[in-house]
Amino acid sequence: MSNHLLEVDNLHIEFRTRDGVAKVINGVSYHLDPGETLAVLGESGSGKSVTAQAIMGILDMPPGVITNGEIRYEGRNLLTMPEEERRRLRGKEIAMIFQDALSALNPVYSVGFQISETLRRNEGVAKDVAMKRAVELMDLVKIPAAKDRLKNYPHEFSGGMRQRVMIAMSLAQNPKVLIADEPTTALDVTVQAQIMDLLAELRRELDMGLILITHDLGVVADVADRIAVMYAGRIVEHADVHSIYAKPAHPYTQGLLDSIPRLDSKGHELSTIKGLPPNLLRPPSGCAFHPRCPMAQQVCQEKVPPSLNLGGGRTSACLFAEEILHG
Amino acid sequence: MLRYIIRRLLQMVLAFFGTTLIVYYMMFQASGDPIQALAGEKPVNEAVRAKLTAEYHLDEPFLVRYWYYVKGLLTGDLGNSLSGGRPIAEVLAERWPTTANLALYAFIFVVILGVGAGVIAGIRRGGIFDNTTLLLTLVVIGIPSFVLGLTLQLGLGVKAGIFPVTYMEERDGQFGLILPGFILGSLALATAVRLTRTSVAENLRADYVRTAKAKGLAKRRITIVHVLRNSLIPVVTFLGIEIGNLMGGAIITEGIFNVQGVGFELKKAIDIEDGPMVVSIVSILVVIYLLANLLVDILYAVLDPRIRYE
Ligand SMILES: Nc1ncnc2c1ncn2[C@@H]1O[C@H](COP(=O)(O)OP(=O)(O)OP(=O)(O)O)[C@@H](O)[C@H]1O
Ligand code: SF4
Ligand SMILES: [Mg+2]
Repeated sequence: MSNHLLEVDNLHIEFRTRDGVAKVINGVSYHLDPGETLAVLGESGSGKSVTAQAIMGILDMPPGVITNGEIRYEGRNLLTMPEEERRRLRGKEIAMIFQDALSALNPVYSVGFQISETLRRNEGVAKDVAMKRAVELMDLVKIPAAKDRLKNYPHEFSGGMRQRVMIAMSLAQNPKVLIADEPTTALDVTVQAQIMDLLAELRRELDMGLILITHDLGVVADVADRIAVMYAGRIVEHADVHSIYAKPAHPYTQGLLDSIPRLDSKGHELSTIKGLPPNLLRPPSGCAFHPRCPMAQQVCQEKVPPSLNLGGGRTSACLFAEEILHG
Repeated sequence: MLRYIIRRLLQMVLAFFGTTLIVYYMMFQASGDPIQALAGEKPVNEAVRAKLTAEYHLDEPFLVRYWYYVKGLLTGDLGNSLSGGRPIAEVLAERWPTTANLALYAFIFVVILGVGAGVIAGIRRGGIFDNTTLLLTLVVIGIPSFVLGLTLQLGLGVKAGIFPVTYMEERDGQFGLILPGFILGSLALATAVRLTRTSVAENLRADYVRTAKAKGLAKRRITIVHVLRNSLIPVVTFLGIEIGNLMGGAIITEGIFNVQGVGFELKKAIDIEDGPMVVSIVSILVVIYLLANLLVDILYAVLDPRIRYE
């Protein structure tokens, strides 16, 4: 067994609801090492957040059921760990930030209270010390006049500043892994770039592993080391950033790349991937992407493509991966 | 915060003048002859007419008279009752404690049983406790409160003999007010259960709860510090408004158990058409409503920082 810091291994998750059983995660595997950034990419509903929630142990169960797989942190399987032990890892070893900081922060407590809360409750730090630390954290994420804003409430901050508060809060216990679930989706474009830069900088300074969940391939090029592309609860392609940008090895990744707006494409029509993501209550047979795949053949409807090892840590779950890459 | 409170106080003063003006007008002006309105349908002789005219400044313009009335209200000088001629303030000082006590019992039931059950039901939504309480609240909300009152009076009072059937202060003391208090509070209690339950259940699903979990906080802390604090905001509002309603409602419950509080006095005053007494009681109820609302608004701002800066 390889020794990664964090390893998701053949994870299967389904949601059992009144409408039926939705198989939402169907054998996801990815890993993260200290200090690196993994971007998890995919359309809405592909299972990025559910996987992250399973790592954090904050999945809604029920209706969610983890039917198979392991999530190992420093070699220990989180899924079989006693809840109390697992809770101590949350925030301290693995922390998470969310998309909409306004709803993700508690509206009735000051940001100082919320940033210092884990220090006071989980680490037994005295209140005044914890508050000082909160100011340091707010300085770290570059909130101006941090000390004066300690007593402010989340609704008194701008969207970008609020997301910084959330980041400061997640860093309170010096986690080794930070999961950022679409941290910039709710923000203006200029603010998006600032937050993304901040995350990259913090990752470097604090030597954290960063899992960056996004559906925007454009933003990851500068910050990510590796990319895992998800589709219908599977990792369809995984590779380092340069390889993927140079030559995708899966038609879905190709489609995503083609849909990035580029400066030189002004006036040209952006190509987007045709069709809708599959209904996971009744997923397509064979390759889940086949109804939308420009390269689909008859065999794609019959055979579920295995994850093919293309060398150099690169994988693709397409029956024609070799042809795409070398053809 | 201070500005918010000052603004609310000003609003309350306005509302006070507005409502008392309406009450005063309806009682003494709308009916034509104010003397007749004061005295009810009894014929009024000249001596009484002159006395009433002097006492209520009836030879002055309406607004001046209203001003005397408000001044009296604020200084506790409510004039004399038409029956027996005792000062109204004295009569009410005797009656209010009983009514306030009754309302207090009701309020305690609402807070402890209603909010308590609502919190538990909200946390264990879909469980046996939740379903049972939900059914009970439906029954209580569905039955008119005097039916529930008479039923419990018959069951627990007449048949089981646990509680006194009618209230006698010297005989029953505080204990005698428990059953009337429960009946008075029953509707608000049922509403409190449902409101609290919904609020708790909603907040348990909120994004900030997910964040709190991701922070590694213990479940107890998440429930008590994060979920309850947010869930109770609408509940506190409801409870505050209920203070006024319970005072008003006490007047009806008092009839069932023959509790000699303000309701008893009001009913008597209406029967013998004692205008000044009716106006005084109604005015004081209005003031209580207004104060309760002010209290709610301030509490609301304390609990929800988003309100303070609107
Ligand atoms: N609590 C839940 N109950 C039922 N189904 C759920 C629940 N949470 C997620 N799902 C389903 O799981 C699937 C994957 O959802 P997930 O949130 O992981 O998508 P995502 O890739 O994060 O998408 P987005 O970009 O929109 O955030 C979706 O089909 C969603 O409907
Ligand atoms: S397996 Fe077939 S349908 Fe699936 S991505 Fe490859 S070519 Fe397209
Ligand atoms: Mg998501």
